[in-house]
Amino acid sequence: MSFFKRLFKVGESNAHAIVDKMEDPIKMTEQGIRDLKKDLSMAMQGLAEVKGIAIRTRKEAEKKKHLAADYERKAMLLLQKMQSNQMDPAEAERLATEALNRKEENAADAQRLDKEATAHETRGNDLQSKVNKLKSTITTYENDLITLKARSRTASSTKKINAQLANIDSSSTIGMLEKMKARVEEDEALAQAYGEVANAGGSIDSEIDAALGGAETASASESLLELKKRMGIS
Amino acid sequence: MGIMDFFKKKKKDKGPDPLSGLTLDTLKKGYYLDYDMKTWEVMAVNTYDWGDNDITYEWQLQSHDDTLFLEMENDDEMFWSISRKVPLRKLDQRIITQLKNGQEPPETLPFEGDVFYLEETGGGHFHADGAEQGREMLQWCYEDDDGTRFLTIEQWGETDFELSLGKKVEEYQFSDILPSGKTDI
Repeated sequence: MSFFKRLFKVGESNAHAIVDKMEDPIKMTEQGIRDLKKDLSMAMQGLAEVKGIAIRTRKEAEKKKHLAADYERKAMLLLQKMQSNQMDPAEAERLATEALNRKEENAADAQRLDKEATAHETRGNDLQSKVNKLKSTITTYENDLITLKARSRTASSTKKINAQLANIDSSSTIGMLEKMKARVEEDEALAQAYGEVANAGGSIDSEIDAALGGAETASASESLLELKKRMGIS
Repeated sequence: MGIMDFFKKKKKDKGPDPLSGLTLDTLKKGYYLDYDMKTWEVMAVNTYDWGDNDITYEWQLQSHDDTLFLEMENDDEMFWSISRKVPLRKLDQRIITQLKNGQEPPETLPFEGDVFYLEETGGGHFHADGAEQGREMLQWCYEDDDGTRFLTIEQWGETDFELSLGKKVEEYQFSDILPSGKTDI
Protein backbone atom coordinates (compact mmCIF):
# COMPACT_ATOMS: atom_id res chain seq x y z
CA MET A 1 0.00 0.00 0.00
CA SER A 2 1.37 3.38 -0.92
CA PHE A 3 2.10 5.99 1.69
CA PHE A 4 -0.68 8.34 0.57
CA LYS A 5 -3.23 5.55 0.55
CA ARG A 6 -2.30 4.66 4.12
CA LEU A 7 -2.46 8.31 5.13
CA PHE A 8 -5.91 8.61 3.56
CA LYS A 9 -7.04 5.46 5.42
CA VAL A 10 -5.82 6.90 8.71
CA GLY A 11 -7.66 10.15 8.02
CA GLU A 12 -10.79 8.27 7.05
CA SER A 13 -10.79 6.10 10.15
CA ASN A 14 -10.24 9.14 12.38
CA ALA A 15 -13.09 11.01 10.70
CA HIS A 16 -15.37 8.00 11.24
CA ALA A 17 -14.33 7.83 14.88
CA ILE A 18 -15.18 11.53 15.34
CA VAL A 19 -18.58 11.15 13.63
CA ASP A 20 -19.25 8.05 15.78
CA LYS A 21 -18.55 10.11 18.88
CA MET A 22 -20.85 12.90 17.68
CA GLU A 23 -23.70 10.49 16.92
CA ASP A 24 -26.32 10.47 19.69
CA PRO A 25 -28.46 7.34 19.20
CA ILE A 26 -31.43 8.89 21.02
CA LYS A 27 -31.39 12.01 18.86
CA MET A 28 -30.92 9.89 15.75
CA THR A 29 -33.93 7.74 16.69
CA GLU A 30 -36.02 10.83 17.43
CA GLN A 31 -35.17 12.18 14.01
CA GLY A 32 -36.03 8.81 12.46
CA ILE A 33 -39.44 8.88 14.16
CA ARG A 34 -40.02 12.46 12.99
CA ASP A 35 -39.24 11.36 9.41
CA LEU A 36 -41.59 8.40 9.74
CA LYS A 37 -44.35 10.69 11.04
CA LYS A 38 -43.83 12.94 8.05
CA ASP A 39 -44.21 9.92 5.77
CA LEU A 40 -47.32 8.91 7.71
CA SER A 41 -48.82 12.38 7.29
CA MET A 42 -48.22 12.19 3.56
CA ALA A 43 -49.79 8.73 3.39
CA MET A 44 -52.79 9.98 5.38
CA GLN A 45 -53.17 12.91 3.05
CA GLY A 46 -53.19 10.53 0.10
CA LEU A 47 -55.69 8.30 1.85
CA ALA A 48 -57.97 11.25 2.60
CA GLU A 49 -57.92 12.14 -1.08
CA VAL A 50 -58.83 8.57 -2.08
CA LYS A 51 -61.65 8.48 0.50
CA GLY A 52 -62.95 11.82 -0.72
CA ILE A 53 -62.95 10.60 -4.32
CA ALA A 54 -64.69 7.37 -3.26
CA ILE A 55 -67.47 9.28 -1.46
CA ARG A 56 -67.99 11.66 -4.36
CA THR A 57 -67.98 8.85 -6.94
CA ARG A 58 -70.45 6.79 -4.88
CA LYS A 59 -72.66 9.87 -4.48
CA GLU A 60 -72.52 10.48 -8.23
CA ALA A 61 -73.40 6.82 -8.88
CA GLU A 62 -76.43 7.12 -6.56
CA LYS A 63 -77.48 10.30 -8.35
CA LYS A 64 -77.28 8.56 -11.74
CA LYS A 65 -79.29 5.63 -10.38
CA HIS A 66 -82.00 8.00 -9.19
CA LEU A 67 -81.97 9.79 -12.53
CA ALA A 68 -82.32 6.47 -14.37
CA ALA A 69 -85.26 5.52 -12.16
CA ASP A 70 -86.73 8.97 -12.70
CA TYR A 71 -86.52 8.65 -16.52
CA GLU A 72 -88.12 5.22 -16.38
CA ARG A 73 -90.95 6.63 -14.26
CA LYS A 74 -91.39 9.47 -16.78
CA ALA A 75 -91.50 7.00 -19.69
CA MET A 76 -94.19 5.06 -17.84
CA LEU A 77 -96.19 8.23 -17.18
CA LEU A 78 -95.98 9.14 -20.88
CA LEU A 79 -97.25 5.70 -21.87
CA GLN A 80 -100.03 5.95 -19.29
CA LYS A 81 -101.05 9.31 -20.78
CA MET A 82 -101.02 7.75 -24.22
CA GLN A 83 -103.13 4.89 -22.94
CA SER A 84 -105.68 7.26 -21.44
CA ASN A 85 -105.74 9.24 -24.70
CA GLN A 86 -104.36 12.33 -23.03
CA MET A 87 -101.49 12.44 -25.49
CA ASP A 88 -100.76 11.83 -29.13
CA PRO A 89 -99.47 8.24 -29.31
CA ALA A 90 -96.60 9.04 -31.67
CA GLU A 91 -95.44 11.96 -29.57
CA ALA A 92 -95.84 9.98 -26.38
CA GLU A 93 -93.84 7.09 -27.82
CA ARG A 94 -91.13 9.42 -29.10
CA LEU A 95 -90.77 11.07 -25.72
CA ALA A 96 -91.00 7.75 -23.88
CA THR A 97 -88.25 6.32 -26.12
CA GLU A 98 -86.14 9.39 -25.46
CA ALA A 99 -86.75 9.03 -21.72
CA LEU A 100 -85.78 5.36 -21.90
CA ASN A 101 -82.61 6.25 -23.79
CA ARG A 102 -81.72 8.69 -21.04
CA LYS A 103 -82.57 6.05 -18.47
CA GLU A 104 -80.16 3.64 -20.16
CA GLU A 105 -77.44 6.28 -20.36
CA ASN A 106 -77.80 7.11 -16.69
CA ALA A 107 -78.02 3.45 -15.69
CA ALA A 108 -74.80 2.75 -17.62
CA ASP A 109 -73.13 5.75 -15.98
CA ALA A 110 -74.35 4.56 -12.59
CA GLN A 111 -72.90 1.11 -13.22
CA ARG A 112 -69.56 2.55 -14.33
CA LEU A 113 -69.41 4.94 -11.37
CA ASP A 114 -70.40 2.11 -9.02
CA LYS A 115 -67.45 0.09 -10.26
CA GLU A 116 -65.14 3.09 -9.94
CA ALA A 117 -66.39 3.82 -6.43
CA THR A 118 -65.82 0.20 -5.44
CA ALA A 119 -62.29 0.38 -6.84
CA HIS A 120 -61.61 3.59 -4.90
CA GLU A 121 -63.07 2.07 -1.75
CA THR A 122 -60.92 -1.04 -2.14
CA ARG A 123 -57.86 1.11 -2.70
CA GLY A 124 -58.86 3.21 0.30
CA ASN A 125 -59.25 0.14 2.52
CA ASP A 126 -55.89 -1.17 1.34
CA LEU A 127 -54.23 2.18 2.05
CA GLN A 128 -56.03 2.42 5.39
CA SER A 129 -54.59 -0.89 6.53
CA LYS A 130 -51.12 0.24 5.46
CA VAL A 131 -51.54 3.55 7.28
CA ASN A 132 -52.73 1.68 10.39
CA LYS A 133 -49.68 -0.59 10.17
CA LEU A 134 -47.38 2.42 9.85
CA LYS A 135 -49.16 4.08 12.80
CA SER A 136 -48.70 1.03 14.97
CA THR A 137 -45.03 0.71 13.94
CA ILE A 138 -44.33 4.35 14.80
CA THR A 139 -46.20 4.00 18.09
CA THR A 140 -44.06 0.95 18.93
CA TYR A 141 -40.90 2.88 18.04
CA GLU A 142 -42.04 5.86 20.13
CA ASN A 143 -42.77 3.65 23.13
CA ASP A 144 -39.45 1.84 22.69
CA LEU A 145 -37.68 5.19 22.57
CA ILE A 146 -39.42 6.36 25.76
CA THR A 147 -38.37 3.13 27.51
CA LEU A 148 -34.83 3.39 26.16
CA LYS A 149 -34.58 7.03 27.24
CA ALA A 150 -35.70 6.07 30.75
CA ARG A 151 -33.23 3.16 30.79
CA SER A 152 -30.48 5.42 29.51
CA ARG A 153 -31.21 7.99 32.25
CA THR A 154 -31.25 5.26 34.90
CA ALA A 155 -28.01 3.79 33.56
CA SER A 156 -26.37 7.20 33.54
CA SER A 157 -27.43 7.88 37.16
CA THR A 158 -26.31 4.41 38.24
CA LYS A 159 -23.00 4.96 36.49
CA LYS A 160 -22.53 8.26 38.31
CA ILE A 161 -23.36 6.72 41.70
CA ASN A 162 -21.12 3.74 41.10
CA ALA A 163 -18.29 5.99 39.96
CA GLN A 164 -18.67 8.04 43.13
CA LEU A 165 -18.61 4.88 45.21
CA ALA A 166 -15.59 3.53 43.43
CA ASN A 167 -13.70 6.75 43.04
CA ILE A 168 -11.50 7.57 46.05
CA ASP A 169 -9.62 10.46 44.60
CA SER A 170 -9.25 13.63 46.68
CA SER A 171 -11.97 15.54 44.83
CA SER A 172 -14.76 13.02 45.34
CA THR A 173 -17.07 13.04 48.35
CA ILE A 174 -15.81 9.68 49.53
CA GLY A 175 -12.25 10.89 49.14
CA MET A 176 -13.11 13.88 51.30
CA LEU A 177 -14.64 11.61 53.94
CA GLU A 178 -11.59 9.37 53.86
CA LYS A 179 -9.35 12.41 54.19
CA MET A 180 -11.44 13.66 57.11
CA LYS A 181 -11.36 10.23 58.74
CA ALA A 182 -7.58 10.17 58.38
CA ARG A 183 -7.32 13.63 59.90
CA VAL A 184 -9.55 12.67 62.86
CA GLU A 185 -7.48 9.54 63.44
CA GLU A 186 -4.34 11.62 63.20
CA ASP A 187 -5.75 14.12 65.74
CA GLU A 188 -6.77 11.31 68.06
CA ALA A 189 -3.33 9.77 67.85
CA LEU A 190 -1.79 13.13 68.47
CA ALA A 191 -4.07 13.73 71.50
CA GLN A 192 -3.12 10.34 72.87
CA ALA A 193 0.47 11.08 72.33
CA TYR A 194 0.16 14.44 74.07
CA GLY A 195 -1.57 12.71 76.96
CA GLU A 196 1.24 10.24 77.22
CA VAL A 197 3.79 13.01 77.05
CA ALA A 198 1.87 14.92 79.76
CA ASN A 199 1.89 11.86 81.97
CA ALA A 200 5.50 11.32 81.20
CA GLY A 201 6.29 14.98 81.79
CA GLY A 202 6.32 14.74 85.74
CA SER A 203 9.55 14.87 87.89
CA ILE A 204 11.54 11.84 88.76
CA ASP A 205 10.36 12.32 92.38
CA SER A 206 6.80 11.87 91.34
CA GLU A 207 7.82 8.75 89.56
CA ILE A 208 9.51 7.46 92.67
CA ASP A 209 6.53 8.49 94.81
CA ALA A 210 4.22 6.77 92.44
CA ALA A 211 6.32 3.63 92.54
CA LEU A 212 6.65 3.71 96.32
CA GLY A 213 3.17 5.14 96.96
CA GLY A 214 2.09 2.27 99.23
CA ALA A 215 5.33 2.26 101.33
CA GLU A 216 5.18 6.00 102.01
CA THR A 217 1.66 5.75 103.37
CA ALA A 218 2.68 2.88 105.67
CA SER A 219 5.66 4.83 107.01
CA ALA A 220 3.52 7.89 107.88
CA SER A 221 1.05 5.85 109.86
CA GLU A 222 3.84 4.11 111.71
CA SER A 223 5.22 7.53 112.78
CA LEU A 224 1.80 8.62 113.94
CA LEU A 225 1.38 5.51 116.02
CA GLU A 226 4.80 6.05 117.62
CA LEU A 227 3.97 9.65 118.49
CA LYS A 228 0.63 8.70 120.01
CA LYS A 229 2.40 5.99 122.06
CA ARG A 230 4.89 8.56 123.35
CA MET A 231 2.16 10.93 124.36
CA GLY A 232 0.21 8.18 126.09
CA ILE A 233 -2.71 8.36 123.71
CA SER A 234 -4.13 5.03 122.82
CA MET B 1 -43.65 44.94 7.05
CA GLY B 2 -40.17 45.84 8.24
CA ILE B 3 -37.02 44.90 6.41
CA MET B 4 -36.18 42.34 9.10
CA ASP B 5 -39.53 40.64 8.57
CA PHE B 6 -38.37 39.79 5.08
CA PHE B 7 -35.63 37.58 6.50
CA LYS B 8 -37.81 36.02 9.15
CA LYS B 9 -38.59 32.43 8.36
CA LYS B 10 -42.30 31.89 8.05
CA LYS B 11 -43.52 29.20 10.41
CA LYS B 12 -45.18 26.50 8.38
CA ASP B 13 -48.25 24.91 9.93
CA LYS B 14 -47.23 21.30 10.22
CA GLY B 15 -50.78 20.25 11.09
CA PRO B 16 -51.80 17.79 13.76
CA ASP B 17 -49.58 14.98 14.99
CA PRO B 18 -50.68 11.99 12.88
CA LEU B 19 -50.64 9.74 15.94
CA SER B 20 -51.93 11.75 18.87
CA GLY B 21 -53.36 14.89 17.28
CA LEU B 22 -56.28 13.39 15.43
CA THR B 23 -59.07 13.07 17.96
CA LEU B 24 -62.81 13.47 17.66
CA ASP B 25 -62.85 16.86 19.39
CA THR B 26 -60.23 18.25 16.98
CA LEU B 27 -62.21 17.48 13.82
CA LYS B 28 -62.10 20.23 11.24
CA LYS B 29 -63.91 20.92 8.03
CA GLY B 30 -62.65 18.59 5.30
CA TYR B 31 -61.54 15.84 7.70
CA TYR B 32 -62.68 12.25 7.19
CA LEU B 33 -63.62 9.61 9.70
CA ASP B 34 -65.27 6.21 9.80
CA TYR B 35 -68.46 5.49 11.70
CA ASP B 36 -71.03 2.75 11.34
CA MET B 37 -69.17 1.05 8.45
CA LYS B 38 -69.12 4.24 6.39
CA THR B 39 -66.67 7.02 5.67
CA TRP B 40 -67.90 10.50 6.52
CA GLU B 41 -66.60 13.89 5.50
CA VAL B 42 -66.80 16.82 7.90
CA MET B 43 -68.81 19.44 6.01
CA ALA B 44 -69.06 22.07 8.74
CA VAL B 45 -68.14 22.76 12.35
CA ASN B 46 -70.93 24.60 14.15
CA THR B 47 -71.33 25.81 17.71
CA TYR B 48 -74.28 26.49 19.97
CA ASP B 49 -73.52 29.18 22.52
CA TRP B 50 -75.88 28.84 25.49
CA GLY B 51 -74.20 31.65 27.47
CA ASP B 52 -71.91 31.47 30.53
CA ASN B 53 -69.25 29.67 28.47
CA ASP B 54 -71.63 26.78 27.93
CA ILE B 55 -70.90 25.72 24.37
CA THR B 56 -72.03 22.70 22.39
CA TYR B 57 -69.92 21.71 19.38
CA GLU B 58 -71.54 20.20 16.34
CA TRP B 59 -69.90 18.58 13.32
CA GLN B 60 -71.97 18.07 10.20
CA LEU B 61 -70.91 14.75 8.69
CA GLN B 62 -71.79 13.56 5.23
CA SER B 63 -71.42 10.15 3.63
CA HIS B 64 -72.41 9.29 0.08
CA ASP B 65 -76.05 8.82 1.08
CA ASP B 66 -76.57 10.27 4.54
CA THR B 67 -76.03 13.35 6.70
CA LEU B 68 -75.70 13.32 10.44
CA PHE B 69 -74.72 15.69 13.19
CA LEU B 70 -72.11 14.75 15.76
CA GLU B 71 -72.39 16.75 18.97
CA MET B 72 -70.06 17.19 21.90
CA GLU B 73 -71.11 18.62 25.21
CA ASN B 74 -68.43 19.28 27.79
CA ASP B 75 -69.95 18.95 31.22
CA ASP B 76 -66.91 17.98 33.36
CA GLU B 77 -66.52 15.13 30.91
CA MET B 78 -67.29 14.88 27.22
CA PHE B 79 -70.68 13.65 26.12
CA TRP B 80 -71.06 12.58 22.52
CA SER B 81 -74.22 12.13 20.51
CA ILE B 82 -75.30 11.85 16.92
CA SER B 83 -78.56 13.04 15.45
CA ARG B 84 -80.35 13.19 12.15
CA LYS B 85 -82.94 15.67 10.97
CA VAL B 86 -86.45 14.29 10.94
CA PRO B 87 -89.37 15.88 9.09
CA LEU B 88 -91.50 17.87 11.52
CA ARG B 89 -94.63 16.30 10.05
CA LYS B 90 -93.66 13.07 11.83
CA LEU B 91 -94.77 14.71 15.05
CA ASP B 92 -98.36 14.55 16.20
CA GLN B 93 -100.30 17.17 14.22
CA ARG B 94 -101.76 18.66 17.41
CA ILE B 95 -98.30 19.29 18.76
CA ILE B 96 -97.23 20.97 15.51
CA THR B 97 -100.29 23.24 15.71
CA GLN B 98 -99.50 23.95 19.36
CA LEU B 99 -95.95 24.95 18.44
CA LYS B 100 -96.98 27.10 15.50
CA ASN B 101 -99.53 28.88 17.68
CA GLY B 102 -96.70 29.99 19.91
CA GLN B 103 -97.53 27.64 22.76
CA GLU B 104 -94.85 25.82 24.75
CA PRO B 105 -94.24 22.22 23.67
CA PRO B 106 -95.75 19.54 25.95
CA GLU B 107 -93.91 17.74 28.77
CA THR B 108 -94.15 14.41 26.97
CA LEU B 109 -93.85 13.71 23.29
CA PRO B 110 -95.15 10.57 21.61
CA PHE B 111 -92.93 9.65 18.66
CA GLU B 112 -92.73 6.48 16.56
CA GLY B 113 -94.36 4.40 19.27
CA ASP B 114 -92.14 5.71 22.06
CA VAL B 115 -92.70 8.38 24.66
CA PHE B 116 -90.09 11.07 25.10
CA TYR B 117 -89.91 13.21 28.23
CA LEU B 118 -88.91 16.86 28.34
CA GLU B 119 -85.41 16.97 29.84
CA GLU B 120 -84.21 20.51 29.26
CA THR B 121 -85.02 23.70 27.44
CA GLY B 122 -82.73 26.51 26.48
CA GLY B 123 -82.06 29.45 24.27
CA GLY B 124 -78.82 30.35 22.61
CA HIS B 125 -77.00 31.43 19.51
CA PHE B 126 -76.10 29.12 16.67
CA HIS B 127 -72.83 29.88 14.88
CA ALA B 128 -72.76 28.13 11.53
CA ASP B 129 -69.31 26.93 10.47
CA GLY B 130 -67.29 29.41 12.49
CA ALA B 131 -69.46 32.42 11.70
CA GLU B 132 -69.05 35.24 14.20
CA GLN B 133 -72.63 36.34 13.92
CA GLY B 134 -74.87 33.88 15.74
CA ARG B 135 -78.45 33.06 14.96
CA GLU B 136 -80.87 33.11 17.85
CA MET B 137 -82.71 29.87 18.55
CA LEU B 138 -84.67 27.97 21.17
CA GLN B 139 -84.39 24.30 21.95
CA TRP B 140 -86.50 21.69 23.74
CA CYS B 141 -84.76 18.43 24.43
CA TYR B 142 -86.66 15.22 25.18
CA GLU B 143 -85.29 11.84 26.24
CA ASP B 144 -86.79 8.38 26.13
CA ASP B 145 -87.21 6.15 29.17
CA ASP B 146 -83.66 4.72 29.03
CA GLY B 147 -82.09 8.07 28.27
CA THR B 148 -80.38 6.60 25.22
CA ARG B 149 -82.44 8.24 22.46
CA PHE B 150 -83.43 11.86 22.38
CA LEU B 151 -85.64 14.11 20.34
CA THR B 152 -84.93 17.78 19.87
CA ILE B 153 -87.24 20.54 18.73
CA GLU B 154 -85.48 23.69 17.59
CA GLN B 155 -87.19 26.97 16.89
CA TRP B 156 -85.45 29.28 14.44
CA GLY B 157 -88.09 31.91 13.86
CA GLU B 158 -91.72 32.64 14.57
CA THR B 159 -92.96 29.50 12.85
CA ASP B 160 -89.77 27.81 11.73
CA PHE B 161 -89.25 24.55 13.63
CA GLU B 162 -86.85 21.66 13.15
CA LEU B 163 -86.95 18.21 14.62
CA SER B 164 -84.05 15.80 15.09
CA LEU B 165 -83.73 12.34 16.51
CA GLY B 166 -80.49 11.32 18.14
CA LYS B 167 -78.72 8.87 20.36
CA LYS B 168 -75.72 8.82 22.65
CA VAL B 169 -72.49 7.50 21.22
CA GLU B 170 -69.01 6.78 22.51
CA GLU B 171 -65.75 8.08 21.10
CA TYR B 172 -64.46 4.59 20.33
CA GLN B 173 -67.25 4.11 17.78
CA PHE B 174 -65.45 6.55 15.49
CA SER B 175 -62.17 5.61 13.88
CA ASP B 176 -59.65 6.33 11.15
CA ILE B 177 -59.72 10.10 11.48
CA LEU B 178 -57.89 11.67 8.57
CA PRO B 179 -57.02 15.29 8.08
CA SER B 180 -58.18 16.99 4.95
CA GLY B 181 -56.56 15.70 1.79
CA LYS B 182 -56.76 19.15 0.26
CA THR B 183 -54.56 21.09 2.67
CA ASP B 184 -51.05 20.81 3.97
CA ILE B 185 -50.77 18.53 6.94
